[in-house]
Amino acid sequence: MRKPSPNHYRLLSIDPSPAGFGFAIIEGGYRLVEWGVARVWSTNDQEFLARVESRIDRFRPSAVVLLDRSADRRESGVLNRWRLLQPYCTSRYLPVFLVSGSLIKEVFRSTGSTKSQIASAIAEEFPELEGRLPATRKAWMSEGEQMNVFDAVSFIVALRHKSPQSKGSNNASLGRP
Amino acid sequence: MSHDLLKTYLRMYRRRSGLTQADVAYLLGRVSGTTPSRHEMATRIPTLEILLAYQVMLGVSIGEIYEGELARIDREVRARARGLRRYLEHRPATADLRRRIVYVQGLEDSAGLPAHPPKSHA
Repeated sequence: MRKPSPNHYRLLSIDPSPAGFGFAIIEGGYRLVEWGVARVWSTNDQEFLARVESRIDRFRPSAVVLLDRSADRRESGVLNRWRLLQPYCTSRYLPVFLVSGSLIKEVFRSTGSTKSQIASAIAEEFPELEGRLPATRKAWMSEGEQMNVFDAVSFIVALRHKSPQSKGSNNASLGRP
Repeated sequence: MSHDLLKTYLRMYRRRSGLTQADVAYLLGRVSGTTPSRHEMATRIPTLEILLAYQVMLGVSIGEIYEGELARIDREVRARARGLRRYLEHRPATADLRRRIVYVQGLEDSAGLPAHPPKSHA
């Protein structure tokens, strides 16, 4: 029987948005394999899950990473979609890691913890995302959809910092949420 | 749940380079981006000429682009090497046979090709 190699531990991070979801797939903690925004304009949840499913089928992640919104009490379409993801992933036998917003802020404290600063720090680590870096927005401007990609990457980066031993040969802690 | 490598990382390397599928198609001498798209989805295996063109345009080796396939083939070759060594060990021993066994043993034990493969017979 082949042993699972921790270097190939692939995480799929999903950040639902009103227009679909941003996602990122990182392998071994440091290799950004795929990223993007899936637009799901329909309010049909099945369509949303079908788009998630296509990513899971194609990239066969070892686990899924989501922002912890369990304390969020505001009812919204985004929250409803977030609630769909956990049982769906469980039905696919995929472990789900929840990353809290406070952990993300803590991890990016040195670079600045606004979303724009976090996105810049991420683009520095993953230069392939530089072209997607949204312009700094004014208070009256809505957030660019590309920000969901940076958010999705930030979940995995935060999780990686939570499990520093994941670098190199031991990713075991990533397997146990 | 899987810990295996993906069959191909072509899409990742292409996106890292900033090239579009249409750019890649043009560089391959193709009309549309469907050819690179099929290669990225691993629904088609490129010809040797195209593989070498990917290596040139993306600046990464074919083995890195097809890391998952390389890992699978590596496992298969080493498994066959084990069988070949067992077969050779039951043959009458000669100097040449011993060298072959040592080489095959190297294939079995190494994480890839032996570091110093013996020179071929002149």
